[in-house]
Amino acid sequence: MIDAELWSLFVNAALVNNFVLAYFLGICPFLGVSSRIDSAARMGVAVTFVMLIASLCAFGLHRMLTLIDARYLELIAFIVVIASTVQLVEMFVRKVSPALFEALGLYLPLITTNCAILAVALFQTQRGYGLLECVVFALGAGVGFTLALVLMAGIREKLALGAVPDAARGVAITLLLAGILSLAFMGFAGVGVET
Amino acid sequence: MSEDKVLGNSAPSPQRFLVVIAVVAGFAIAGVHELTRPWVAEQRATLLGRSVLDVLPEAVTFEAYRLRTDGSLERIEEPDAAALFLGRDADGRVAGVAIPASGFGYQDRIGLVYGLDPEQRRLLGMRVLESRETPGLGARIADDAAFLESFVSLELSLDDAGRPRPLRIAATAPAGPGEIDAITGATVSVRAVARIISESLSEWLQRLQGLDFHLEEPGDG
Amino acid sequence: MAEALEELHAETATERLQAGLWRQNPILVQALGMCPTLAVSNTAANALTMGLATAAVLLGSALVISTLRETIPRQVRLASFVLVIATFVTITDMLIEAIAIEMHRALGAFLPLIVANCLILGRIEALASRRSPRLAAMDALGMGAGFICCLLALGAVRELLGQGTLFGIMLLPERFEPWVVMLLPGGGFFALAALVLAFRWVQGHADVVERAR
Repeated sequence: MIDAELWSLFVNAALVNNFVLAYFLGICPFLGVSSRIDSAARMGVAVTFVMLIASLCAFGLHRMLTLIDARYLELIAFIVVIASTVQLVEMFVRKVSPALFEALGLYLPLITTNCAILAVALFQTQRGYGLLECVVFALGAGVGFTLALVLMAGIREKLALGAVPDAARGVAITLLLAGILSLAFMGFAGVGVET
Repeated sequence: MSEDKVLGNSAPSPQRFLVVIAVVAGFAIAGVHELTRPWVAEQRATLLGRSVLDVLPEAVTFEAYRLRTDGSLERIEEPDAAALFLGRDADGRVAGVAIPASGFGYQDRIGLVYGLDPEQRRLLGMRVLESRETPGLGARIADDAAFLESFVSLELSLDDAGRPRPLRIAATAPAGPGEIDAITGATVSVRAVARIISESLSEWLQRLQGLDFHLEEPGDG
Repeated sequence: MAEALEELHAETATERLQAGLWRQNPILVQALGMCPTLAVSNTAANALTMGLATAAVLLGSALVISTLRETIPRQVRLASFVLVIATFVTITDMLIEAIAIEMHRALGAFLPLIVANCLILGRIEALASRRSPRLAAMDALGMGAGFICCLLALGAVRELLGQGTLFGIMLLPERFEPWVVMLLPGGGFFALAALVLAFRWVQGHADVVERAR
């Protein structure tokens, strides 16, 4: 049986408080990459993967910095460690599986400066999650991000065939669609509550 | 500054450069942290303190206590880490205890603090400290006047064993014991607040039975 | 060489300042720094604080990096940029907590997230790491001002329609039923989309006028 609280945490991160549609995190890739479903899905997987790594790094760092009473260095430590870990993983992936690198590698450097990644680290610290909770939270956030990206890409693939006014092409129409998606996702509110 | 030394050399080794930058950055942050610490501590204390005094109408000062692992209380200075606040009126008498509690709401965690009278039969007030409830709907638990008013002097409804029953949402106009006002459009959030307080009460009331705050006069410790 | 570069770009300093406000507006044209734009623009006060904090970080990091631009080794370019930005962000975050803790609570994790604002890294990579401190500062000021203006406009519209207030002061008559949707995430997307559309429309007209000349 899945622990109810962890499940609620997952649903909450993925749907109710969707990173893209409720917290507005990772909007840049959302606007930039999401024009084809397959590339959106790949990007989503890569982000989820990096979120997991970042979450684990941040958990360890937070523990260490709390021990030496230097929590004010947290932000700078998170950034540096997450960025370098992602770089290491990138090298590792390139060595081990060039095919996977081809699929994900392109996005990895992009992802490091994605605010959604850092947000996972910051939120879990702020809310005092334990190790297991951190992993579930990162997974949920990643799944939610992927979902939003793929949904958007699906809509935009169809939209390419429609007649969009010149002024609305690009950013404006994407933002409008995102607004509607965001309203739709509000329907999930309350799902994660245990009553 | 260390940058000046590096400037003379047009191509410092990357590693050394990074180390220098990191050290300078670390010191800069630590310096500002030390400088702002007293202000931040003061700001935090007043922010929480205002809510604590709000939920204990008769109190003018309060003391913060931490819960030891053995269940006893220990007085602390940093109010942020407190598990319980003891409010005192102008004459130094105990005016009630304020207890911070948190739990899940509609969107995310709701953090609140509520006041309990010294006899532990009535609630004295409630303030929401943090919530991400829907603005204009659930978020009104933080500022709906009638809702907040319904916690003031709210008699608890006790069962046969003298334990408090969970708070309920009033269905009819004159709210009975243990009943709080409803807010249209914020049912889930209001229920969450009731649940958070009820759970916290059932945990704390027993613990408080063993402690007699009246003995602890101000100025003793 | 630096002198010559300075000379070459001397006249463009004012242009840089203006570019950020209109032609290259970070939000409306370049679509940079969207995350905080949407997340904290639910009230005018939040938006203004966020805009000022971001602009301060941008200005500080641009100055430091453009001063050090010939010293920073290419291999660790990005890492150094990020370190400098993160330092300024942490300092800004602590200052805001010391001065206005309620604002600090309201902005929450979005203050530290300024680090990941692509606007800052983008400007530093594109300009500050190549040009003189003077030019970098002008560019940062222009971009910062453009960012603040957009954020403030969004915040004002969302607060006014969503709560009927502006900076917490009740402006609309009692009868006005607030559009709660403007405060919700969806409303943020809609408001920004409307702003982008309005900007494109105005600029489209300006272009037509220019071409007619």
